[in-house]
Amino acid sequence: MIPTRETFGNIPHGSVILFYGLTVVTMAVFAGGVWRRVKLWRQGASISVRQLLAGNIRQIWNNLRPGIRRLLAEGLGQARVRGRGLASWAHIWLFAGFMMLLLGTTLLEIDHLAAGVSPALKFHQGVYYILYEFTLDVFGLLFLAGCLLFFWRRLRRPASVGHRATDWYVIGSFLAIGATGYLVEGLRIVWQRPAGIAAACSPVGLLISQQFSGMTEAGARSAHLALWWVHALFVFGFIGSIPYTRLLHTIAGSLNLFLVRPELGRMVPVTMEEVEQTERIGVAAINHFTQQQLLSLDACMECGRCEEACPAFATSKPLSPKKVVQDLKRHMSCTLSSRGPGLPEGQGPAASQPARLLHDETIAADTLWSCTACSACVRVCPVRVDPLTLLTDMRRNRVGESALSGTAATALRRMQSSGNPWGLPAAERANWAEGIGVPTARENPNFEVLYWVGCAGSYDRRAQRVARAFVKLLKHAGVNFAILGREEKCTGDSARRLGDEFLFQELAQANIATLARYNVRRIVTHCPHCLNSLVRDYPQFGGSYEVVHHTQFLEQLVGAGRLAVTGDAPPEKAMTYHDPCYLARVNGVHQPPRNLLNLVSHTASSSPVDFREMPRRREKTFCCGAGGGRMWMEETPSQRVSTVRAKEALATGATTVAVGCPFCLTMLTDGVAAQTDAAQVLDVAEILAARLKL
Amino acid sequence: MKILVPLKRVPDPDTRIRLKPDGSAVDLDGVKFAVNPFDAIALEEALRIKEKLGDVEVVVAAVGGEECVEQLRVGLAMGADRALLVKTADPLDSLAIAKVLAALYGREQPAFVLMGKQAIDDDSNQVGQMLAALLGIGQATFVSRLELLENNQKARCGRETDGGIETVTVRLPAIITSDLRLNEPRYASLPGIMKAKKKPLEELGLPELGLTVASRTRVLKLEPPAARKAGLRVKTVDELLEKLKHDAKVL
Amino acid sequence: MANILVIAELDHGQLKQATLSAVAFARKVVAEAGGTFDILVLGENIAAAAELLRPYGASAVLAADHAELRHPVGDKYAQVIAGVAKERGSTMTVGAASTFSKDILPRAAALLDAGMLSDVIDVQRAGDDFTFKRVMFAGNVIATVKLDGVVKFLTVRATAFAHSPKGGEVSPIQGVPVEAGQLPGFIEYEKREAKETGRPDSTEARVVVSGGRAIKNAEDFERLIGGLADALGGAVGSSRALVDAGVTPNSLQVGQTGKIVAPDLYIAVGISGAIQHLAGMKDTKVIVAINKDLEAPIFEVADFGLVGDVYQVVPELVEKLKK
Repeated sequence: MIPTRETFGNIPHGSVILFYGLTVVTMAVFAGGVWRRVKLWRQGASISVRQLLAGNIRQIWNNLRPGIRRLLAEGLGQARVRGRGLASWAHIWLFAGFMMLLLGTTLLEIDHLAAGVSPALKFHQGVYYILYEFTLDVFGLLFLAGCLLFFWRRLRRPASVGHRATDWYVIGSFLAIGATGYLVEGLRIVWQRPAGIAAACSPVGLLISQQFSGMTEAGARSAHLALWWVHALFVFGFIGSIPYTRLLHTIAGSLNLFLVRPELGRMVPVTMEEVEQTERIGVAAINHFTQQQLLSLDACMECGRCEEACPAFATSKPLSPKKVVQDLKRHMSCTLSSRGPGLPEGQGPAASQPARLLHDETIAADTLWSCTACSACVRVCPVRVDPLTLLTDMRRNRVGESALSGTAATALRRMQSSGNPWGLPAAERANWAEGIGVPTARENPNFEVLYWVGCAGSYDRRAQRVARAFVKLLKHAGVNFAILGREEKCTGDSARRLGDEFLFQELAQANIATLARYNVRRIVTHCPHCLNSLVRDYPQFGGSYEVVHHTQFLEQLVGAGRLAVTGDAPPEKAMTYHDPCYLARVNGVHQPPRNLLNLVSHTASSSPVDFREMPRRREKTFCCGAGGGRMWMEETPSQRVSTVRAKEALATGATTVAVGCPFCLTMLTDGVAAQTDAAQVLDVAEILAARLKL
Repeated sequence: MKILVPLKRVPDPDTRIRLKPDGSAVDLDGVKFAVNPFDAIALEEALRIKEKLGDVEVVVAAVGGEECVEQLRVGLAMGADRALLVKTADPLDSLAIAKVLAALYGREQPAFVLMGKQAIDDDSNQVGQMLAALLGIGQATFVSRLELLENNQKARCGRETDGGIETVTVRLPAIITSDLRLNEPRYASLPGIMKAKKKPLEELGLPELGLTVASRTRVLKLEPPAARKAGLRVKTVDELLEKLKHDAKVL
Repeated sequence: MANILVIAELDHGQLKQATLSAVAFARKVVAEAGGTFDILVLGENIAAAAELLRPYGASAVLAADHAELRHPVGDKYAQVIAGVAKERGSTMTVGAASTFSKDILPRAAALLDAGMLSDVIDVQRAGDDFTFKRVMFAGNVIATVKLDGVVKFLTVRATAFAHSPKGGEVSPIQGVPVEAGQLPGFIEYEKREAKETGRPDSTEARVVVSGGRAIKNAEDFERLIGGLADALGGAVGSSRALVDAGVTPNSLQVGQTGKIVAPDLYIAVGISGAIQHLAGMKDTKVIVAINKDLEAPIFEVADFGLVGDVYQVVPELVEKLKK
């Protein structure tokens, strides 16, 4: 007998009809539920999906390809789910098992329909059947294993994971579906009595059937039918519940993976015309977010990775990216009408509540301003929710509505009047370079590369030492460089991340004009914030440059033989390197500084300096706390992000902490000095210059 | 309730003031202007009262040329309801300004006036007090704490004096001048300033107020203070004291 | 010929020394242009204070002694002063620059429709009139001005006019009648909270002494930094490091996230000079740095720098200042 089994075998015709009927009902409930959410999302600002479908086939394909690739790699391939230990495995197994079972059921139904057309089209038999049954049995186990892991984890209630009443229903349903699936299979084997490979290809089912060996055929058939219905009902229940439980992330998450613009460190510009037209800037109400942002709120399944990665949350500030997303989601559900746009706000399901404000009531000011814009939350989210952009969009509105005051506002005012956040005279910006032979672009218009010094390098006496060290290295290597000097203004990175979009644009446009005047193409900078702004923000306004970090540039010089590291290694006992957020995570540069430090640490004669890595390194680096305008805001001593990071650095046993950013230099110098006198914080350029005895 | 908040246009507080070589005036080339910080603090206080009580109209006023509109817009962007510009051609000294504001007060009849204690260019700290005398009403100067009492008939004010914080209660209407520690003003960014263009801004001339005023103060010359010598390393305490007493003249 | 009225300042019945600078100003004018000056003292039970002002060559020490004048309330004082100035025909009414004189004298000036100049640091005769030098732009500009009008009101900076020595002549004391019923009653004095240590606030003090990481604990801070501040009549400040360490309260922090100060003299004791701190005191006229680390960035901004152990330098400084 050819190995096979009858689809709907032992299921009476009436049941089959009922089954299909219930399928239709379930699909309607599912679609209706999803559609209700879609109607909420659609009330956001439009995202011109139509543009994706514009042009010829090739253009459309190019538009859609990145999204499709993400769906395949990150959705199907679960690429972003990794990195959380057992929880990652649990999800991957559950997901793989589920998808395989889904595929299997689909194939089964196709076969069933094909057989209805003609028996010759039946494929669910023979070798295919054997492989099918075996694969499904294995993946079913995988599915159950994942479910059990999640169940056990949920029992232990980890702090960062969200908890809802429906969660037990979901995990319970999954376990029930898995268990009943095998029971149904086992009982089928009891009454079907397949032999040889036809039975062995379903090993789990076979094992289960052996527990019921005493059953009569009639008994097995009725038990089979009963459990089949139980299984079916659980499945219907699960499908119908997707829009109403955490499982919505399967739909919204997939959509989000497809639609999102995935670049880190990027912000969407606003024009004055838009502001004049809409009479607002940024997000003042929930429907000012884009449709993609609103659907991303439903994609969040409260896994808590963002919260665990967030430096503000780690220092007990009132900011949890997960909570922001969930609060916004709840606000969206309560505020936007589920009956579609056009109805006044507050007529949604919770219409009995008065319409809540977005700012201050749903999202507190303290929450909004605690963010350091480090992008850790954006990097770790498996479904690519972007809490950072949600926050900066809201910040834009607060700044535009004059709701920002205090030291950060003072810094903004000073950036505007003096071109630097400390309000020091613009005319003194090049004073650090006096007497050390640093040509300005005006004096040396044929420079190869422009050294963008930044505000810290220009005015902060500590950071000026880094600039001078770098200049010494450039001269030693015979690089033909120049600085803008007094014509350089703040890049505006802090202004933009604080939400003052137009101050940023004013600074950017001034800088772009200056850079154009000197025909600047290549820029090297020692500040990752300046680097990110020049690379990602400035092209939005017509400034396009090749920008490298000073560690990359120095590495290139070493590689080209223009800088040779000889002589003795420095006397440090142990060294570690703190990856700046904006360099390592946002711009993916983390190997060049390590290569340089490695070179510095080694010498032909003596033993190398011990280089230690911190646990949170490279793209996973932990913020120093200065980004997002936080440099200009106060933190209480118990809440210092820099203290947390300094402790992590000192815990490696390092006596030298190397950095590659003037903000990190300031924050970690303070953080380390508060713990010990025995360690120092130095920029990579300073370490290299010292090694070369410059 | 109406609160009148006079604002002065001053060079940005972080500007390094440079003088023209002939000492006739300040070199304003490239200088950015701002709302006098003490006036911004006064306006912030008025706005907070407005946010708390609700039915309050905050009117900002400036005396000067057309360029003062820039600062009035900032005031409107912060949240003031209406702006007034009294256009004058010549610079006016404290008493003259007080007379102009007194005429404006007569026109607007506010519940009280909140203004900065002094302007950071002139540093006179006179206008508020003079205005109170001209109007024959009370005054509370260098206020760092303000509380309205008795159905807005009185104001209890904490005043920053040399000897400590003095608490007085002044009957309204009165002139209240703000000190640094009263509050931290909100920041008005460009979109707010754009929106402020829609708020009413009225321009008046002195004849409309029925006034002729002239400044009695005449500036003959401006010069910088004694030049600061470059940083000096001193070796002993005695040397330090000597330098501070005789060279720097700060002791 | 000048006829000057000097307004004395009392603090809880005690004569403030700065009054003597105003007296010195009056004597200078009288010496150059001829004329006389009176001193007006207001308050309650002020006989002792009036007595102290007799040996300075005034043609009279006028005492407005009344219960209504117990506290220096602006409306009452201004009215009395304006009345006396009018009655005496004073062409100049002057007080030492302080919150007292700044509160009251402009009001009195306007009552007499007189112009006023504040923070005067010099006066020179110019024919029948005078030119004055006064401080503008937070001390960054010295303006030479003339003030039209017969009647002028002025406040003078005490540091610009050295106190006159006492002379042999003794001025008569004259009582100034005060009609309580005629006094305005807009302002009601409630109380004054003396500062905990009687020190001024760093944002308004002329001298600020600030401590950094080198100070080990709160007792040392009070002894060294507080001691030096008191010797100079100044305010205390602190870097963030001490606030973090719990040595000083946050209200003392000077810096980009703390207080922004612009005193005439800022003494940074054991402070490294990171830009976050500098951003809070960059507009200081004279910066003095005391630090044992000669590489500290503060020395690059300081006008005078002393490399040494703060625990030795500061006590020596305090001792020598007290002399």
